[in-house]
Amino acid sequence: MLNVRNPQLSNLVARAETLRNEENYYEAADYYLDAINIKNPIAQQELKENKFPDKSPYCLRLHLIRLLCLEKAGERTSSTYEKECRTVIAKYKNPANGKLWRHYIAVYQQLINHYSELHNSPAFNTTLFEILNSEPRYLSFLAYFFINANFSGISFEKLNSVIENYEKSNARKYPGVDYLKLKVLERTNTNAFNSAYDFLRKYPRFEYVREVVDLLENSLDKFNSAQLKRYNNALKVLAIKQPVKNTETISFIINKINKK
Amino acid sequence: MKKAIFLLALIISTNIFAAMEINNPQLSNLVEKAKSLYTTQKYPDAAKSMLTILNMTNETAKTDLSRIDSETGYPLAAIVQAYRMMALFGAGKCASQDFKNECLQSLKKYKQKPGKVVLTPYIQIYQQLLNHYFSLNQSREIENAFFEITDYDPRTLPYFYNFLQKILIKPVDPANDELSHPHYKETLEQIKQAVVKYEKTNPPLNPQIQYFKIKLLEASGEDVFKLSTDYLKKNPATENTKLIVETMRDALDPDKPEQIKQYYKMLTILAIKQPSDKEHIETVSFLLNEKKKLETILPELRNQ
Repeated sequence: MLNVRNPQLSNLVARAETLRNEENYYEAADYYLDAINIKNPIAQQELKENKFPDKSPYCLRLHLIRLLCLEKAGERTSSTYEKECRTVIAKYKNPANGKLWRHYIAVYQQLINHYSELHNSPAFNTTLFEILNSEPRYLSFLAYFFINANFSGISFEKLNSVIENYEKSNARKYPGVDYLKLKVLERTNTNAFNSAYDFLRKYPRFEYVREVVDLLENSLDKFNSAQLKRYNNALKVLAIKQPVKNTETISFIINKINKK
Repeated sequence: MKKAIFLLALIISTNIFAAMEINNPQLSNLVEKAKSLYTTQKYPDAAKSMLTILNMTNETAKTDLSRIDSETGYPLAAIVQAYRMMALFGAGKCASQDFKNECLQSLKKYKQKPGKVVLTPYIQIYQQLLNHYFSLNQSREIENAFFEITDYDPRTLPYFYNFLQKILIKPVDPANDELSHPHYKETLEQIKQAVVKYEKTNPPLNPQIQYFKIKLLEASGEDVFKLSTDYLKKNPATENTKLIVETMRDALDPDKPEQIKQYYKMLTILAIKQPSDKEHIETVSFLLNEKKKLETILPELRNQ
């Protein structure tokens, strides 16, 4: 538990944490709510303090943990859960503007998961674009939502615009976004050979490396001898770059090499 | 990594401590006691002893405490203070606000121009301030402190390699990246400048810094295959051998297939050049496994 100075607040949070550890999620959620709504002005002040590296307020974290408790209690698909996510998002919208707050994006992720569980694609997509239009740098946290949802109902034009804005920002780059770009190329029937080739050079131990190898193979022009040579070299180097213990991936790549 | 820095600081400061002239018998006893508590790792008691020393009001003791050590150019009090911060760190107190405040106050009190010696009590206290920020994952503060101290004295760069380690070893998941920030490129640029300033001081060859120079270029997207090869030729058996071999492997360019042969040869040479002691067994087995993997993928390499 974080260092909470106010004894009343500290007791409420400690009780909530105990209940959460005991898997009494409803009760834990109630205690977190009591902590958030505490009347004591000193405690209220402490709730506004930044206790995290990203400088987000402590209160936001308590809101998030309450939502996680409610989710564990089986409330993820309820309309009250959606409403509460929306309330938290609205409450912190202005202070979160221009910042990268992990707990803020995590509340959004809870809301997106709610829509995903209900197979509500329109709301799922609208919410993803809602957050990315306000802060494109969150794409590094959200790239897999698009991939896992299989791009259902997604406007690729809008998605490309979000990716462009992310790339214009000076944020650290993560493979998830580059992988998303590859998948967009695949879904829009654009030849992805060069992009997949560069991706494998850059991220040889990416978790979905086999999918990228398949994409490279599918984009290969088998009558283009120069490309065929690059493909073979890329596979050899990729196999070498795997740690010795990744025997399955190494075998997968060797099989591909031998197939040619 | 943090522990390694800490131990380095401990060894040097212990020597400095031993060299000081102390006339006041009470102070001398307290220093001996504090040293003993520290070296036997009784850190909470050692920290208390240091505080007692720093609060001494006896005039001869105060004279002793203000006497300048010819080696570092700092008073004994500063050395005791640095020692106390390290003891508090050892006692697990480095995340507290009090620890930070004490670091900042002592840094303010003992700041002076860099002299002949690099690892002074001032720098040791700075290391502890960084340890405080690390313990709280305060990335912005870690960066600011790093750039401030290397700007103050560029020669200190090797003493802050835990910062370099943290930012240059690439994380792949933003959720696990404490340093995922909107100014990554600027940070890399600032580190490059710090390294340039460090090298202008004509430092002795430091394999650790050479390694981080390679990682720095790699993080900036530059080709480091040749650099890694050159490094391994010059330094075949350092503690970084495995890491540099991995860097060299990651830099293999599919458009330059001849690099595979170079890499294979390097593995053979390195395996031979490792000393045959216990410490290097792990490196040797890594090199041999890596070589075997290459032979499985490209059996023709065996004929090289």
